[in-house]
Amino acid sequence: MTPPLRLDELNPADLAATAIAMPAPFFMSGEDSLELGILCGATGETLTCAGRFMTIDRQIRTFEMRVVPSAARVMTTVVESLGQGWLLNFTAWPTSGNPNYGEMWARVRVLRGRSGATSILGTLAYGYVTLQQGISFPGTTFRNPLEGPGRIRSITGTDPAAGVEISETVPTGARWRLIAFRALLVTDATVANRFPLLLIDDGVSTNFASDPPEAQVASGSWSWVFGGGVTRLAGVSAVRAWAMANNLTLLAGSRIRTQTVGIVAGDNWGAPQLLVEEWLEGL
Amino acid sequence: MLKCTACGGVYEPAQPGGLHYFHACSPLSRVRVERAGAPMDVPLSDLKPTDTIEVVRAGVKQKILANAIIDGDARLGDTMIERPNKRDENVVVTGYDKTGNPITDVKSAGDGVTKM
Repeated sequence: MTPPLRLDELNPADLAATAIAMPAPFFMSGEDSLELGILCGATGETLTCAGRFMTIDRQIRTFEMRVVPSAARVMTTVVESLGQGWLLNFTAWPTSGNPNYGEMWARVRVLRGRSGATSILGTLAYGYVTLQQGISFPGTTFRNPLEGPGRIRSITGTDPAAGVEISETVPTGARWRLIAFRALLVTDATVANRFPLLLIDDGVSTNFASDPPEAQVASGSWSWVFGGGVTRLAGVSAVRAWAMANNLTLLAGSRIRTQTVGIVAGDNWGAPQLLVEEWLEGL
Repeated sequence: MLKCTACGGVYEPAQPGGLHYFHACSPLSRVRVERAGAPMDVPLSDLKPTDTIEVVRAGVKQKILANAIIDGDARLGDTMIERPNKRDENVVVTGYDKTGNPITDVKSAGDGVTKM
């Protein structure tokens, strides 16, 4: 009778294929690494990836990786070599800060090598993370950063100097859907009609222009607004509305700006308030 | 709170919730005028009462002095150009470090900022 082989006499590849049934067998050679990558649009956040790994000598140990991402929506990565063995499971979640859904997107991959010219061998999990939900292996549904709902943001833009127009730029690494916009124009005593236009451009060429329902005269203080579904409107109070396309989605570098025909040096736009839905597109 | 030296705009780089705001200067407004008989585009801040501008008054185009504009006039020929010393804090990737992470810098520093 052939004596049974001891586990440590088996070829590791045979062992994985025949002796151990795992929910998601993932054998890593000593040359393979785990990469944790993050896109983030906020400061003060930290992402931790923790899991279990079974070494070639059948020891189960835990591991932990931590990264503080850039707030500029550029990919920040950390790479760790776990040694030779089997990746059993991991989960990645924010351990500092309290990101809202759509603010932090994480990805875990397997690389051959640890630095320099590495090769991507596999992607294990990716998706948006919050304190209530991380990404896990096995088990997470893959979700790319442009998929599903984005993060709703209320942004206070730059308060322009007198005689200067409003211009707000979709930041690098972001994609915006415009929901609403409001800004106050205070005209000085100079006699003239001002015609504030709202323009959307791609940084160079104008894609959309909305003319005002009426002129704003001297010594006036009017709020100019737009929102999805709102038509061009000359209100009876000090609010005027531009017409705006619904579901206007803008790439990074696009601008939302005013061009006030007839503006004079003493006129003053206030800081615009924008309501947008933002996705991380990343760099 | 920061004030941009190029455009004079005031902004808060750290927004509620930890989100970062990246300021970019707005374009410069210019007015089409005739000055000493020569047509030119001048910055809004440089518009003089003795410049000649073109307006639509009661549906008719006409040229008037800048200080003779009245209610109902619509000034023609306004344009906007990118500010020559524009500050744009949005990031660009200038390279990659040894771990493969992007190295970034602002698109253009312009004339800097003042902390208020």
